[in-house]
Amino acid sequence: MNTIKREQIWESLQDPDFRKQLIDEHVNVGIAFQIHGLRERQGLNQKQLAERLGDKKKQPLISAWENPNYGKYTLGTLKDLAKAFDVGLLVRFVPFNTLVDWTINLTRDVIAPPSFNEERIIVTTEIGITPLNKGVPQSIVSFINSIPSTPSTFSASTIYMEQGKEMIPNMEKGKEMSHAAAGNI
Amino acid sequence: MDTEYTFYDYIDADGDGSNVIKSWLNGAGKDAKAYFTHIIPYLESSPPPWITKYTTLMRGDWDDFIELRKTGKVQYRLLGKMIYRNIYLVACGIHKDQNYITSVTPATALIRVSQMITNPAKYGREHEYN
Repeated sequence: MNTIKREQIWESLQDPDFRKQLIDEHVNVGIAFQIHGLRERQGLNQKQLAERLGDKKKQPLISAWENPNYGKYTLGTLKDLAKAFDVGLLVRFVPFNTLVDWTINLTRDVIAPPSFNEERIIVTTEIGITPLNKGVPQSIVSFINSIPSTPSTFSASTIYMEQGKEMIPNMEKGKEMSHAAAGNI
Repeated sequence: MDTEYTFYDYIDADGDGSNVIKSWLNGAGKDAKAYFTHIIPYLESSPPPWITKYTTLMRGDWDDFIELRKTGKVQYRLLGKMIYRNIYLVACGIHKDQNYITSVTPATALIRVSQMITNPAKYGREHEYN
């Protein structure tokens, strides 16, 4: 069914005027739903979110931000909200296919991603990491666990346990680390 | 991937066989089509309970219908009935200069809903985006 949706949206994208409007609505509708979804996921009412943003007077604004017809977000607001929710924020130019992918593959976790603390718990549960590995970002774990099994590769937990390293936030460093570990056999 | 809710478009099977919702969206403003292209997937994927703030529950002539609304100089509307987790889109409308103009009457819209429920293969199709 997603293939059909993709084909249908792609067909509409042939119209350059529609493409321009799609850019607007992708942001307007998406951000509104994400703010609402994140607030709900974290069990916050609008007043509590305003307090997290450091200004109770922002409560009426939150209602506006959650309106998909609003569309006047500033980068500063988005950054503040990401920090308040303790989630990441990506702002970048992408091919239209990326917008289509996002739209047709929505899930509750995509709309309202886990906060950093939730993410840490998910990582711990999935690969049974010991306290040594706490704080390993999911991106690193996924990358390392995706490396094909060979005698020279290790799971993320092995690497971190043997080396007792702190969390490495950079994927390239993680890759070098796995090769270094292989060389130590 | 299964969604939490599903939107269905009315097919004019007894007429020209067209998807009336899709036809209307292709004739509406590009901003309206782009808006509904996004809000429908988001509504479909949002977990229950239904986010009431993003639709309007109608009263009066359109009693118990729900309305999806794109605001602007011209307000574009999609009207449908929600039954369990299915939303049957059966009518379209605009609101301009205090005039609310819909593609069909509430009575016809109700008949359409009934057709979609009793004969979904003939009168309904998952929402189409092209």
